[in-house]
Amino acid sequence: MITLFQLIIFWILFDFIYIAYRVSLLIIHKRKLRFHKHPLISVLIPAYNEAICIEKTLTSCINQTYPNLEIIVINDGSTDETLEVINSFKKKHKNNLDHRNIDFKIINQKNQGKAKALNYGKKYTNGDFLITIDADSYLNSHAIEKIISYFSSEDIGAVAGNVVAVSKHSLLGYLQKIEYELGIHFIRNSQSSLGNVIVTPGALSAYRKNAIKKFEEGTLTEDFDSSIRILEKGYKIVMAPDAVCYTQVPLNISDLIKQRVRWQQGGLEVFSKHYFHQKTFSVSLEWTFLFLFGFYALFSKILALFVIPLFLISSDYSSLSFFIISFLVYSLFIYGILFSIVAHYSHDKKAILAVPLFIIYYHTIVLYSVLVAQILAFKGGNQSWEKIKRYHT
Amino acid sequence: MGKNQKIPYLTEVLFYLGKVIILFLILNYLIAQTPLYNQSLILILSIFLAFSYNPFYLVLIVSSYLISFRIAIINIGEFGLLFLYLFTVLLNTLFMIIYLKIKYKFKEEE
Repeated sequence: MITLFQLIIFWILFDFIYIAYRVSLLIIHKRKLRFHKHPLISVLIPAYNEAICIEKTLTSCINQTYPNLEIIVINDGSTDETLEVINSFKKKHKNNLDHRNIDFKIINQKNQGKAKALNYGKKYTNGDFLITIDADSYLNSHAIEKIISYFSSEDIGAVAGNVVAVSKHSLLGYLQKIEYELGIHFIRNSQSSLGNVIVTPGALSAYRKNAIKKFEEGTLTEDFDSSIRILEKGYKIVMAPDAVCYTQVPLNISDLIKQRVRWQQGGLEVFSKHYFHQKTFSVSLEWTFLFLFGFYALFSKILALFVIPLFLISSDYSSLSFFIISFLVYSLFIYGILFSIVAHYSHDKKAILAVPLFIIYYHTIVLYSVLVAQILAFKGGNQSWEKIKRYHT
Repeated sequence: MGKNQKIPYLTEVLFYLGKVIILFLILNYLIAQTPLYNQSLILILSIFLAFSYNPFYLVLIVSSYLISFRIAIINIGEFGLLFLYLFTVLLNTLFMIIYLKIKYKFKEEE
């Protein structure tokens, strides 16, 4: 029988190679060149039943320091008051929009999902650069100016924004906030050093119009799907840590699991769709690392959950307690390293104190979602653009 | 967790775990009759088989595992099981990717 201790050795094998790879990229990370022109930017905001929070999103867009904008809001067949809220916002801010010379368009389509909404909106764009923003997110006033400045050369096809989770003083929200920071500062920043950011987040991303013929449809994670397509075309994708966007996160476990299952399932679909496509060497390397260590290593951890009951049945309590202690010591060590990196970049020193809670959060909710995604992938039946509960921000 | 909230997909997960247990018991009984018997491998096999009874997946994984059993018994020994474990995870992923690719028939960009 594989012992639980051997499982931990196996995890160490995965984790250490992955961390070493990421840290080495973070060390070589240098991207200083900036682009200082002000071309017309088309901002696309797809919205489906976002009446509660879209006004704040739109306000943050019209209050940008960037001077040359057009804003296109695509109402994807909302059944709540989203359309009324957008129309009244346009009327209310007419003077400001005219004064700032912002072309504000409202487009309606029947409910077809986010990717189709983005593609429909893209037809109405006039700018050479596109920015996509989720209707439940809002921007820092410099976000667009900062994100566009990263298009310093023609080979940069897209730029990923820095998405900060709004925790609303909830513990679950705070755990997600530091998880997002881990993703931004540890994973995306290191990917950015070679221009291989694998996912341009839906909440805030900028695209060179020539690099994206259309937003990819047919998978649950259109942002991941579209960014892989851009990388396959030979463009680079970089990260803009100073282009900050605040996004809502689920504040109850049920919504959180649904969201994570959708991400995991979408990830599996995108891997299937693009797995055999030709990629440059550095993209293939990043893809393989993400696949082996970032995405699929999770599943190896789930297997331990199956082995534990066998130890309970066989009354081998000493092995089980040894496993639990080893697991806790190892997890505290590994997440201590990761969170130290996050604390260094985000200046949030108290994130390190959350390590024990994060271990519990990660090894229950996230692993449960990975398992469910695998089950659903074989069972079939696509999830739709499922809504999580929205809050006033 | 609020009072009115349920854990999403709990039925699917419980049904899946039920399949794992049944498969584990059946395979444990069958393979215990052969010199290839190894409880760890049977457990891993049950976990992956329980995802789907798709014949394509079943044939591939069973044939791969039968080869793996022999390697494990003859050359690898107890420590080698860890690498076999790595191999099975990768194998499962690859099968899943091929399976999804065939199943969803993603539209390719012109």
